Amino acid sequence: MSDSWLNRNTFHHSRFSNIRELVELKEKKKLSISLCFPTLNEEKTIAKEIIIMRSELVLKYPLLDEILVIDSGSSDHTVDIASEYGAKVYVANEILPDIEDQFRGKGENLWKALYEARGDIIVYLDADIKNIHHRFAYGLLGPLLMDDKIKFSKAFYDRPITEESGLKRPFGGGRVTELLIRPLFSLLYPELTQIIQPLSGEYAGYREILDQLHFPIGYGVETGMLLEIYEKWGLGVVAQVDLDKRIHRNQDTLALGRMSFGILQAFFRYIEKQEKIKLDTGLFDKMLQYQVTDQKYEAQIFQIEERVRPPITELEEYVKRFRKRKKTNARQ
Amino acid sequence: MDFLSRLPEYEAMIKVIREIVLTDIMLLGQTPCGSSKNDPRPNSRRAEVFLNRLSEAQVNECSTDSMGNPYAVIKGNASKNHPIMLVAHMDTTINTEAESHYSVSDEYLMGPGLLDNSLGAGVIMSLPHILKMLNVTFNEDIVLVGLTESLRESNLKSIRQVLSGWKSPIQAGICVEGGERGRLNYFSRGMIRAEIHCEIPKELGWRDTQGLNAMLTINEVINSILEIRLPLRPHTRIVLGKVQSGFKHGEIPLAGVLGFEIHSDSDKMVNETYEKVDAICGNIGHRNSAYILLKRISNVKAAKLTYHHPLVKAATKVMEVLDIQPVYESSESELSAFLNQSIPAITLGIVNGENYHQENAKMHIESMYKGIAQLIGVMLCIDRGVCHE
Repeated sequence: MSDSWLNRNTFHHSRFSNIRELVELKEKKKLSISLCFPTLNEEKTIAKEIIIMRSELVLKYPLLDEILVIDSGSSDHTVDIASEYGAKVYVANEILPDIEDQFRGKGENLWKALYEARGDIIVYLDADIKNIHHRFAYGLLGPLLMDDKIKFSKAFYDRPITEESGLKRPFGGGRVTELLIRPLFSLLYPELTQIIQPLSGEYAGYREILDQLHFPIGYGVETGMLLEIYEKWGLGVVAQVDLDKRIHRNQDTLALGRMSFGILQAFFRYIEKQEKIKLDTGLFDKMLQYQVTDQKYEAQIFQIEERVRPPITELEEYVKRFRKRKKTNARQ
Repeated sequence: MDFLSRLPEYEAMIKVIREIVLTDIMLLGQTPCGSSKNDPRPNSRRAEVFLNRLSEAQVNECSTDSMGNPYAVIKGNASKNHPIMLVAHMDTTINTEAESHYSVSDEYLMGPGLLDNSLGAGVIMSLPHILKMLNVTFNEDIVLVGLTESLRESNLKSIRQVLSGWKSPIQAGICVEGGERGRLNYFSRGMIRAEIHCEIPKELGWRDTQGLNAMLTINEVINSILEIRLPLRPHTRIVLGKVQSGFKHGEIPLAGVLGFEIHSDSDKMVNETYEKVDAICGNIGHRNSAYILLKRISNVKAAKLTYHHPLVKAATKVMEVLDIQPVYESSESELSAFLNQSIPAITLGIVNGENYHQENAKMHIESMYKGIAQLIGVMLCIDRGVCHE
């Protein structure tokens, strides 16, 4: 496997720090850009994220045309705070209320954001970033605006290439990436191992790509998106951007176990559909974990159903709203 | 002064771009105090942020002085080279070497060092945007300065350097502090800030576990200081500000530090009182076989504007227009450096805050708009020549 993609399509955010230039490109290409935060109980961080993005990329430089919050039904003050600071706030279940099922999960919010957002480009950022900086948005937008071949950009947070004397040093993603995703990619999609942090929650893409993707509702959304983009358009439309450090809530091993379960569900579904593997049996949808309570071992059962939204272009309401937009061409 | 009637309108307009101000405050306040990779000087990381933000705002002139204090100049429409200088110190009493994280709710902004003084510096950084949005211009140049070394042992080193190095005569100075909104400092008392370090030789500490205790020795020093007779005129006082000693509940402390300040309207009284404290330290150290060292951290000479100075009157008027109740106090900070060089100056606070000097310092966001309008009002008064009346 050649690592030419890694060297060609990997950037550092500082390359795109001339925001004025990005705005000029956006205007020249007659594009609009939406920033979307999927939220669930993020009252501690959401205000700061909106404030900084609005200050730097709306008020100072009109790079973003709108900031949306798609909330999964927070029980804290997330919705009120986001409204106070000028974001367009939507409750996920109230978007497209007439569709048959309503789900709860990050993937659902991202999918429904496509319906509410008006941008030609949509930037998705997690809402729990403590050290939020506007580079998280302009860094992802840089490759999309500066290179016509790039249609989807994804964040990573290490410095993998060089820092001193051109020496390479080890880099990588988090625990789930290194223990689960990269081994799976190595086995079945070696080219995708070049994506340093496939699970990062920050990415941006052209609507013409995003609206043709399936959206797993839960933990599998990032992996599912990558696999499908790779299948439909190839890795050439993808860029990855080093956004330096990202500080967020750390998750314990049990939580990561449940995340891995959800990712595996999405992965198996995908590779079976691709006929890379044939399962003779169905998969269980319960994650079993164990704990000791009062000297007794006890099973904890977590129902993690795999739900997948179809490409939103299959939805009549969406097509009506965005009918003038054209689909992107196949694999470049 | 017709422009004063517009100040309440400014207050409402500033709210429209509050995100810009809050972002500047956060980006500066979250940056660790300390040196950057490119510049070993103290607080250079914050200086870089200050300079970069003002440079991005396309202010006419952005640079640092020889000590690394960043400054920017907004050119006036008819400058006679008598600039108005706004300063804010960027070092904090909570010296964060690691990155800290501010948080925002619908009402408050919170974080270490916020009120003293990332808020003041952040407001200065935002001024070019605020003035542009308000369409406010000045005849004179406006100089915006971030001070890298002000507090503790730094003893106002930065502002002294800036003022001594500035080539043109400064028309007036405004020291911008986070809080408390309503403060109007126009005089500085003479002040010495000092620490008394007490150390019990270790072998003695082991031998006499009842008497030779640094905490008790410091207590004796405190009692003796409290016995010093201080005059009401010139008004003189000793503020015992902090004390540190001990590690565990059951272990005799062998070291301790007492931090205090002597304030007086008279520099002579400050020095005389300091000498009395020095004598107390000598006596008690000798009596207890302890090492007691009096260490001067910083000092400030008394200086003031009169209450009837036009700048004080104008600032009071601005506050009245905005329905801010002025509180007249002394400030032994950057203000004294201006006043000691006979430059008219005042200190203003921007917000109402809580938990001053604590990790969870917080400001009431809504109070900020009026605080900034007040600052702009005073700048306009100076620009219209109030200091020459």
